Amino acid sequence: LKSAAAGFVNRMKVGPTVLAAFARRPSEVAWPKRFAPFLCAKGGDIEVEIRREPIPRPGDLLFESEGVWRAYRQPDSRLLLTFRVGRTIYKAALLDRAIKGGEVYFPRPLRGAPAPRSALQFPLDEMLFQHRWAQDGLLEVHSCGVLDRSGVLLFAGHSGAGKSTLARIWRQHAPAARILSDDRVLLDPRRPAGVRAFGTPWHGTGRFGSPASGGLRALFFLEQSAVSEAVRLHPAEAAARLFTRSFPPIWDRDATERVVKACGDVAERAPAFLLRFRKDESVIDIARQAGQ
Amino acid sequence: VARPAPDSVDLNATPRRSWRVVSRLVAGEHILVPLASRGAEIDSIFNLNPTGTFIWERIDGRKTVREIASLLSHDFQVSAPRAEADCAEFAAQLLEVRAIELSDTP
Repeated sequence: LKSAAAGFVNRMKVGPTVLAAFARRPSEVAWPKRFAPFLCAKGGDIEVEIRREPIPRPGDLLFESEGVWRAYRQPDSRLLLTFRVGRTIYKAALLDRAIKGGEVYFPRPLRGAPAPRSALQFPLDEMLFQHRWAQDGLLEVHSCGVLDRSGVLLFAGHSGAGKSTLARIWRQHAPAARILSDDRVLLDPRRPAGVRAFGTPWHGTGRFGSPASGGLRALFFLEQSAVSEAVRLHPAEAAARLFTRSFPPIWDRDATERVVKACGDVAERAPAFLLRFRKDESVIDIARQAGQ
Repeated sequence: VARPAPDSVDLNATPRRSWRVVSRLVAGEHILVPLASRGAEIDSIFNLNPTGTFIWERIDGRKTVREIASLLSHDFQVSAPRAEADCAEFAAQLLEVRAIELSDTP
């Protein structure tokens, strides 16, 4: 524990960012086995301590996801993220404004209630990273990333757009290519040398997830079709499409400005295309040619 | 009952950008992103064409719609009535999506 002598810490690194989680029991900071390639031994860009204590009283509502979580601004200006099963809040994360540290409140469930074992179970793990990345000007995109030859081809799309299908096509017909993820790829546009694309552990139905990275070569926005073709997009159009496929804290003006800037920077530095594709290997040549 | 949005705004009105919208110039065109407080509100991002970008960049809370139209007329070589009609209609669209607010007509 950060504040006690005896405890456990688990660290996960996604892109350049390390999340360090401290707890009294190892199960409370356990990640699924498939996250093993992302675990690391050092660092702590985000440090959270797991507490088996009652959840703090929420402050002012900032955002209602209309799903399992809500965001609140606390009187001390910290951010509170709450997570519900039904109408019961079963855990919450209380974070400083810079998303560098905080506590995860994970009280023991009432008898008979559902009992998640790990406090960092999805979506909290990913949300901790997303909030920090929004502060840092990095961009997580709902996409499939393929490290092919000299760079990364990014295929962005909402659920059902064909990201996992595309990953399987690459795996089958271009086995030397490396799939960074079939659902989430992190982009770092801050580097002078070019935009860097990182794999993440959060995968789609194809279960592809790798910590590998590469320079971004081209962006594609997926649209399934009877024929495969790539149509060039204006960078502003690409930036808007990127934003709608990212995960910004949309209630936070400063963070949203940084995410929009990241979208613009990526779109101005990498060519972007609308990719209409048929579910066969023809899409590989189309993407490679467009990305040259 | 929702009232239909007006087709245009008063030329003497003074528009200012809403704090609830984030904008960014990308390769010569602006994108507008409305902030949201509910998941269901995340539905729209707006791309402005070069004329829309020209108008957006001159919305500063001081110039009236008529003054912006005058600048548009000069830079884009269109008649004053045409520029005023375009500006007023475009401002109405921005107002409808809550990208701007209007100050009282002087």
